[in-house]
Amino acid sequence: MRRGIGIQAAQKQTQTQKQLQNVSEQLNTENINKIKEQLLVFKENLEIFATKHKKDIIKNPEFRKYFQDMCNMIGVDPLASNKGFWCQVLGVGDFYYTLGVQIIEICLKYRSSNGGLMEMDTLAEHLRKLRGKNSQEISCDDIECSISKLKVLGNGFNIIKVSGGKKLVQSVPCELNKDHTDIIILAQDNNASITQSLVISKLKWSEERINNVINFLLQESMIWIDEQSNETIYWFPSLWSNFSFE
Amino acid sequence: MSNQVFQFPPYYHKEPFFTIQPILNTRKKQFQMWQDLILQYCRYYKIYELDINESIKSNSVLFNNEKINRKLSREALKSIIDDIIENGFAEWVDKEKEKEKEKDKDNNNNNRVLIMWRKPDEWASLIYKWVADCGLLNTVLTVWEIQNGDDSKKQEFHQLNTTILMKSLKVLEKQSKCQTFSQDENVGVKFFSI
Repeated sequence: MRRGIGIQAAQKQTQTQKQLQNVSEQLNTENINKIKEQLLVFKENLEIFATKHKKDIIKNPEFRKYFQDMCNMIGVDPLASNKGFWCQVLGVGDFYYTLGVQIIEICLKYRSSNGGLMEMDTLAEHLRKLRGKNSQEISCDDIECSISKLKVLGNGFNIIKVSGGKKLVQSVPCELNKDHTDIIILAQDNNASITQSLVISKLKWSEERINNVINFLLQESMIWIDEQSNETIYWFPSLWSNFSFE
Repeated sequence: MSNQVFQFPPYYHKEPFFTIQPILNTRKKQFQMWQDLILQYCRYYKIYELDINESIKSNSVLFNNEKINRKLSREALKSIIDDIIENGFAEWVDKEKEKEKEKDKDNNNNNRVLIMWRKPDEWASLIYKWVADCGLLNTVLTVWEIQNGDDSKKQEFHQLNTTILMKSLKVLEKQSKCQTFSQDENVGVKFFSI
């Protein structure tokens, strides 16, 4: 009796499990098919959208930003892979990757002059020159987006926010702490230069603290010394408004 | 040329450019910029010699930017010139005497420097090409003819500094493309076809 009951129960359980598996497989298959259909519809809609608005996305930086924001809300990163929909259909990936290469090229060219710091506006101007008049319009948002993708390559590119909504592009892998940033902000409001007395009067720092920051920035070639004044002046080439090193 | 003035690059108007930078990397960049500026300025005005003391004393515009109240000191200019010499674009004019003076440990007398904004090798190529194009191969020319003759008026080496010209001719001699010889105070040169 026990043996019979055990065997039958086991057999019944096995049969039940098989049946359940079949059912679940069916359900999964149906779900997958539905999702595939939805993706196809999505893709078709995207292609229609792309056909209509491709030029706008490529030519209009504002439109591009809205597109980017929409993707972020959905949780899709159109730049994460070159094989994604958006890159294939819209050419957005190529646009930003090309821009990234050009940004690297420009930062490398001027690194020895400005120590690897460059104002966002200056970089944008260089990009416009490099890309020529007939190329697409570039906005600072585009540059930021491209730089954020360059971070995947490791330490090297960073964006520093300074006062007045301005931003500096840093293309060397050194750590700028708050002291350095404060000095840069102070220099920005003082015609791209600082003196020790200015720092003392504005930031109330000790001499040792000032010297530490200045020596670091000197070592990194981010500031240049000017000793033909009553007091030594330290200049930030990266904050000069024109293309000083052309 | 008479009405036009040399256009200084933007960095000439930046104050720290006139202070020798203490950090090696920055100083390298600075010296490169000064070399470019000096060579371009000399090329523009066809200047072949610079007198360091004279330039400083007369506040030559090349080393003195009055707008920003900055000028290069003599010591700074000397170190920049030393760098340009090391790069092969300049030479002390009193090079032979320099050796004697070094024995006397008197370095302050090195004043005049030959600026080669185009190196003798390049001048040599230009001259030989001109000689070949004019069908003057296997003929004798005087140095004066090359420098000041009517035929060379449109050439870049017209009124070329004699010292640099002789250097160029030496380059060609090493390449077996010409032979120089002297007669009284005149120097002649015969160019050969290759």
